[in-house]
Amino acid sequence: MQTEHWGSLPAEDDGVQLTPDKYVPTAAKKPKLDEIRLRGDLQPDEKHHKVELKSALVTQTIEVMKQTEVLQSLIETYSNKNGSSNYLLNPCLMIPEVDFPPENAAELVGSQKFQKPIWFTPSVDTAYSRGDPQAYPEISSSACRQAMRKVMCGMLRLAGFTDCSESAVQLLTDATEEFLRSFIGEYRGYYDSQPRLQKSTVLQLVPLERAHVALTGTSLTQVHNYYKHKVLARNRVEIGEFNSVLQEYDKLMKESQSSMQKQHNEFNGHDFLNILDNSATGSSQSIGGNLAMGDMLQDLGGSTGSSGTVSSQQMLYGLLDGQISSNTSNMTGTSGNGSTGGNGNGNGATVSNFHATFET
Amino acid sequence: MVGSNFGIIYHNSAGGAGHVNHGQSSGGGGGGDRERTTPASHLSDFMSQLEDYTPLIPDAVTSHYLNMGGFQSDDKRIVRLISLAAQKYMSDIIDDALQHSKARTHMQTTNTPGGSKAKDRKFTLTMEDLQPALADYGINVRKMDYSQ
Repeated sequence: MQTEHWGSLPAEDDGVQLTPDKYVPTAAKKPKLDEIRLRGDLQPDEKHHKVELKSALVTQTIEVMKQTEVLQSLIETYSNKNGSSNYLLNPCLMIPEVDFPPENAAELVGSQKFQKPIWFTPSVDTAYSRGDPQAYPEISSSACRQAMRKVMCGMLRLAGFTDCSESAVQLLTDATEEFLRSFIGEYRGYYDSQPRLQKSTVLQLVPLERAHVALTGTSLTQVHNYYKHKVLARNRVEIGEFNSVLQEYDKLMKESQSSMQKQHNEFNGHDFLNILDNSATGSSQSIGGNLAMGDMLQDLGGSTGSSGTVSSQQMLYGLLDGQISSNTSNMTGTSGNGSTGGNGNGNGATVSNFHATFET
Repeated sequence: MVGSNFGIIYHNSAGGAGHVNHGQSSGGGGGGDRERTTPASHLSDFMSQLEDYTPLIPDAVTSHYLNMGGFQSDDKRIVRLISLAAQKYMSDIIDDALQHSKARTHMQTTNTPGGSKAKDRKFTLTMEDLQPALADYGINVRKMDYSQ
């Protein structure tokens, strides 16, 4: 009796012959190897996914809050509040201009969608409303925690906190992570409790609602109230406050500019030349200065006569017109001769009017 | 204020999803003791309107936790709904913490002779304010005496 061994090879080689595509002949091995090497060395797939925190409303709200704080600090620096109005502390000090981009306070959300009750808002046929499957990139747990940390900082700023301790942010991040784990764990629990859903991985809405009620005691529909009243309304309130503070600041700036302009217009040559009028006023304080001016004018004009007030003024007028005369009699002549031939009559007329006004 | 089921009373003719006891908000109207049925169609209508409700928590982060829970996170609507629910939950805690902070700051300004102006008041979140807020939501925090 012939013994049959379990690992014995068949005696006859009647098996299926190997087809050429299932083996590489010896002669073709080298070209095949060269072909593989031409493709290059295999590099590990670098998966870098960028997780973006996109929430235009919250970003805008925080930015508008910052702008409001800047304006309020400027208003407090340059003005004083008396009653319900702000008054400039120093009218001679120009308030700096601030230029915020107008799109920072633009309305991002159409009011119709959120003003109407939700059941009156017609649904739009989009990929989102149809629930088309969308793949999300796989990210690590550490990346999730980093993103959550930033989210917590944004929510703290949105709520009104300006500073936060490190441990508090850490605790909030941990609490958020724990809530998500518990919520999804409860969600999975409802799946496991139903035999037909035990092996299912498709997301359904009703178990989610049950899980939320079990965890928080409130319906998922409360999310709508939260978004409408806490996010949208807050955005509008902050934009409104910014606009009112901006108007107040514009008013102060215009007041400052007008006061500066007024002071500039009030300054003229009369005040400057009045420094020579020491004999008319008889002020002892101005005598010394005027004497110095008179000496200076004498040096410039070369006059040897007594430096009376009128002669000094005429010398100055002549200097202003570019005419320097050594003869004092000419300088004390009629006002019509005040102009030189080089200048036109217009200048002489101007000097005469100015001179007449000054004498009176 | 729009509360449970947006104020619409549906007759229990659809059946199906079981009874869910809706929690009433603090300013809600009457009828809080009645149990109402929440058909899936109403929730799905609500969910389809969430397209413009951009949550702060990225969808990829929520998808990560769903994957860890054994789900296939390809429905953007439910992913966004979970993100918003988590955001709402944390927002409530932060608001409570802000109230605690304001109360503590108000007590400090009334005790000190030269209290700060209302505009100059800046609120800093510390563990003192966060701990009672978390306790109200069932999260008990214990810290060592030497930590801040």
